[in-house]
Formats: sequence, structure tokens, C-alpha cells
Amino acid sequence: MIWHPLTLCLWLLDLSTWMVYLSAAGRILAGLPGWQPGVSDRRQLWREFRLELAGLQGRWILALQSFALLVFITVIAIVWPIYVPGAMCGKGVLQAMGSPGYQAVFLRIAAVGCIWGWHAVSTMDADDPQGRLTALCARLLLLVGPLLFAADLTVGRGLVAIRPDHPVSCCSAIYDQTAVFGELSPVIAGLTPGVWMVGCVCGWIVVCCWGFYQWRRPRLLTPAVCLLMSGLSFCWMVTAVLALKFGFTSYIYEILSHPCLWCLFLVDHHMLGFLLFGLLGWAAFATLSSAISVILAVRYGHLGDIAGRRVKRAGCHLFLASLMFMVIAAGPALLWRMRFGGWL
Amino acid sequence: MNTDALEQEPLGLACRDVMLERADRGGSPRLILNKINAAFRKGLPALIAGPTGAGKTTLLHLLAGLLRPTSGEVLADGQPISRWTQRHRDRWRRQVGIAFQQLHLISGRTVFENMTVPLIPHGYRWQQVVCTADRLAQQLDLQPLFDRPVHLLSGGQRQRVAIARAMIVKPRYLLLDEPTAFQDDENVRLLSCLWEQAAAEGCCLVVCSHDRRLREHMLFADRYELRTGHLEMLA
Repeated sequence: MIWHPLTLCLWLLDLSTWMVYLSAAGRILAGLPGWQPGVSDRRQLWREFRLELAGLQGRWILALQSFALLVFITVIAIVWPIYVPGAMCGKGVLQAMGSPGYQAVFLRIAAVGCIWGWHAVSTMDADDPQGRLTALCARLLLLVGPLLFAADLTVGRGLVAIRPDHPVSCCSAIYDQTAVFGELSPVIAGLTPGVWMVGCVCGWIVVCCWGFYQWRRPRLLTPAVCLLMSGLSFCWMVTAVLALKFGFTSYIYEILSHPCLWCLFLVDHHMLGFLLFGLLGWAAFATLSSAISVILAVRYGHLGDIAGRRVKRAGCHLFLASLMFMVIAAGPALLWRMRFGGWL
Repeated sequence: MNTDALEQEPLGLACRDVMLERADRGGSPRLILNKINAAFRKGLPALIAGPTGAGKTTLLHLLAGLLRPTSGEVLADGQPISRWTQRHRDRWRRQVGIAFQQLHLISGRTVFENMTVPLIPHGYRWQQVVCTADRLAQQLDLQPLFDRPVHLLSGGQRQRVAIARAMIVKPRYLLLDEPTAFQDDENVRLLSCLWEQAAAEGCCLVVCSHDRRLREHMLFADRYELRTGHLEMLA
């Protein structure tokens, strides 16, 4: 077991999240049965008060889990490599953790994404004085629990799997994975870094224009178009991660090829990973928020104005996040080109 | 919420089956307001009278959105504001002017500063703030006291400052708690003229008082009597 203060901080954050979550879940389970928004009797007002409190607790859960994800990434990328022989970045730590390590990263991100999704619905509900989405928000918050539990369980399993007497080979894990990826999907793996980078830039232009249009749009487009563009935005984010892995990182590390995203979080590389993935997370949340607003506006017609405002704000966020991401990701490549007159 | 039913409510403030319970010292619930049903219409001033401890102030705080009922709802222009979340009620309260029985003036600040506090969230220009405060102060005979700290004023003057503070934003709903308790007859006449003018401009005016001068005043279109938590409309 690793008893670093940040590890303890992570457990403390998770413990706090559970305390708040269980309290909120208790309130929701007490308040949700017999929910009758058309009635104003004592029981219904009591239920409304309970769910209002649960909503406030949901915001605490969001803050705690977002911070816990940041701490989790920090400990994997910067702290735990010290305790794993042979590990130079988070890649080595994940190798030592085995499959629970990768699952833990995925589940934590999924849990935080799910809570942010709840937050998008909750803010729409907060904008509506009549609170027509209160019951839906409460149900969504209940769904977060299993994901939180699975994430915590896999983190624990991964941490137990780390053995200080078993060295790992950080770099060979990357190249082995790249080789396996090449065998599994030769077409995608056969693409050159240039293709990924050009694909990322083209996708960024579309996403950036879409974000700007949503922000400054003359009118709301049909839900189908909005959802299609949200899907495209998510596809661009995947492309951006792959372009970062296979292309842009070379200019950041200043070597020919080192497809490791975990090294981006190291102090040697100015911890750019936090900024880059933070911006991608911001863009992902804006896209999610926009998609949820459109879906809710279709389902609940009277929320059209509120959804319009939220889509507008999400568009602004998507535009800014994608713009800043591209500046930071592609900036080193452009600087390289200006300094040396060629690409790597 | 049943919006069709809400739309049938008259413009102004209304209570629908409002009940309020509070725990007493022993922890057992005590009924303060019991099944209050009333409509306070715009342009028609209402007076709520009743003995001390009947729950007049509590009812006024419920109407102002400062308290939430245990059951039932308070409607403003048909909207159930008592069931809204804090954020929406706070925003709605910008349309409410309230003069408390305890006044709650900011001690050490001048009359002008106390009067203009409610204008802050409205984002008025400075010239507009000065003009509005000046006009109202003239009507309430407070202009010579503009720069004087409120703790140096008499009880009646301080009460008029509190009323001016409630009225300065030209609220849609004006709620006054014992507004004439420290006023002489001349000032009661002055204030009632001002309230009549506000009501004529469409303000929903509710006054809680057991002042005999107000009970006999012709200003009020609706009169209620609050006794041990029950509200009755007087003929």
C-alpha cells in the first residue's frame, strides 16, 4: 500500500463523497416516492425541500469528485511512479496495477462525466422556477452511486496489485501496446502522425465553427442537427487525443516519436497534460450540456427558452475550449516549423 | 404544478391553504397560521389587523418570500413563489418593498445611504439614484435629514426612513408592518397619501397594523382580522 499524503487525500475525498452521497440518496429515497408536483400539502412541500437539499449535496459531490479525479491523475502520473520500480510516468504505474488500473481511470472519468451530466440537467432545473425537472435530477443522482462504487473498488484493487518488488518496463509497455494495436486494427494504426494531425485540425475547424455558431447563432437548429454536431464534437475529441498521442507529443517532447500521453503530465514537460486534458474535458462537458439541453427541450417543450440560453453558453465554452486546446497542442509544432523550417 | 389553476388567480398576492408550524421550546409543533386563504389584489390596499402575537408579522414575511409555509402556497401574479428555490425567490424579491416592524436600518449610515440600499441590485445610475431619493425624501419630509446618521434620528423619523427604503424602487408589492406605530396624525395623513398614490399606480399594498387610525382610514379596500392563526375578511 502506498501511504503518500496525496493517496490519503484521494481516499479522504472519496470518503467525503460517499458520506455526502449517502446522505443525498437517503433524502432522495425519502422524498421521491409519492412525488406530486400538482399538490401543495405538507408532505409534498417536505419532499420538495428534501430534493432541494439533495440537489445542493449533488453539487458538493460534483466538486469533490472533480477534485478527486485531478488528485487521482496526479498520483498516477507524478506520485506513484516513485514507488513502482522502473516506472517513469503513469504508464508504468498502470502496468503495475494491471487491468484494474485502466478500468479505474475509465470508471473515474465516466463517474465524473455522469455527475457533470447530472449537473447539466440540474442547472436547467435551477433555471426553471417551477422545478419541473427536480424528480428527474434526483433519479439521475441516484444512478451515479454504482459508478462511484465501481470506480473506488477498482482503484483499491489496482493499488493492492502494485508490488514494489516487481519492476515494470514503462517504455516497452507503450511500444508493445502500439504493436498490439497495429495487429488488431492495421488500418487505423497504419495512419501516419501527419494524417492524425491534419484530421484533428480539420475536425477542430468544424467544431470551432459549430461552437461559434451556437454562441452567436441567429436561431436554434433542429434537434437532429444539434445532436449530430454533438456526436461529431465527441469524435473530434477522440481524434484530438490520438493526434496528440501520435503527432503533437513529438513536438512537445522534441523527439521523433514517443506515443505516451502520461509523460505529458510530468513536471519535465510543464505538466501540459493537465491543461490539455482539462480543456478537452471542458469541451466535452460543453458538448454534453448542449446535447442534454436539446434533448430536454424536445421532451419538455416549455423549457425551450432555458435550453436556448444553455446551448448558447455551451457553444461559447466549446469554442473557447477547442481554440485554447489547439493553440496549446499545435503551438509547439508550429514553433518547431518556424525554428527549423520542417516537420518532425 | 397545475398552471391552469394558477392562471385563474387574480393579479397580486394570494395565499392558498397556507399553514405554518414552528417548534416551540419543548420541540413540539405549534400552529402559527392555520389554513390562510386570501387574495391581496393590485391597486386595492389591504389591511390586516389583529392582536399582538396573532401572526401578522409572520404572514407578512410569508407574503414577502422570507419564510416558506409548512403547507399551502403563496402566489404572486399566479406564480407559486413560496415553492420556488432560493435563487428565484431572491430575484423575485427585487419587486417587493417591505418595511419591518423592527425597522432593520443600517446603524451608523446616513438617511440617504439607508434609503438607497435597495437600488443597488437594480443598477441605477448615480444621478437617477440621487433624483429618486430626493423626490421621495421630499414627500416624507426627510430631506433636511439626508446626511444625518440614522441612529441620531427619532423613532418616527427612523420609521419613515424604513418606509422610504421600502418604496424607493416603486415595488410591485409593498408590505408594511406596523408602519404608523411611531407617527403623529399629520405623518399618518402624509403616509396614507403616498400609499394611495402607490396603489393607484398598480402596487399591491398589504399593511399589518392594529393602529386605530389606520383601521378607520378609507384607504383600504379590503380589511382582514387575524386571530390565533385564522384570517377572516371583514365586511
